[in-house]
Amino acid sequence: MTDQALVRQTEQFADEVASLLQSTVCPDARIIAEVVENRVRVSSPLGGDKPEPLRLAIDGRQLLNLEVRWRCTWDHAGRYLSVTDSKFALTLPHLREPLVRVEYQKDRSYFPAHVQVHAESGAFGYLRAFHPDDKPPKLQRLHLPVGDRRFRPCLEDVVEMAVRDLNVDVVDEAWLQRVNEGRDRWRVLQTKAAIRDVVKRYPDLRSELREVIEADVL
Amino acid sequence: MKLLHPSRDELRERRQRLLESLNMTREELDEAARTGVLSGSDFWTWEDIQAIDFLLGEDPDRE
Repeated sequence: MTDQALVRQTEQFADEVASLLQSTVCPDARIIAEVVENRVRVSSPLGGDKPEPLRLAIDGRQLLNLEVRWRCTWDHAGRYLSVTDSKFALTLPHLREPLVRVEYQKDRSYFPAHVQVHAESGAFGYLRAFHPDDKPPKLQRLHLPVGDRRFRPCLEDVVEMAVRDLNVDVVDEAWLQRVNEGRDRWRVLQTKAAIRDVVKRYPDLRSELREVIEADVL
Repeated sequence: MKLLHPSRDELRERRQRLLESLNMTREELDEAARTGVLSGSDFWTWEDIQAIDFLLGEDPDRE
């Protein structure tokens, strides 16, 4: 039995994702949400029976795809949608070969938030020659740690990187404002969660944290 | 945004179709993914299969 509150939060989340993409780099973006009991998947409609990539243009030419996926459940208190995995990837349309992946796996034993870059590197190739395994890892197998659980990159960061560093076309001049608004909402949510984490782990810090907050407010 | 409530049977059928499209057994697919040799659309098909595992509550612990 699916909790209707979970369905409502899923709809709101998926709408926010679609709105961000449609108003920044992908005016035709479609987002699919699937709910099965207490498990949720929100994604771009790719890879299934009817692939519909999120197409990004550079100087008017559709040169990149963006793939976005989240898996969610209720949090431990059963109040909020909680992300267990997320993946944002920029890929080449015909090969669907990733350029870069920004991933989060909540239960991963190390570096739950990481970036994987699909590229060749002469320096890394040199290092691989000294790897003890028969099949030393490729560069793309490196998990570059980014921000840990609470301060991992959000979709807005990936959108901004695509625009600033890859020259992806934007819908209009308000794109950065929309990115900043979404990122601010994300950071506030994550900061609250990080404070809860710290208080739970170090109860003695509760009064010290309160003093810091009140001192800054006043 | 489109909200779907697939049945468990529909998900199992979709997963089977995806596996057949790769022409691999599930064991072969997982091994290919583990060793990082999946590329292009095969990688994303594997992603989709994993997502179905998750929706069905059949996802294994992963590293």
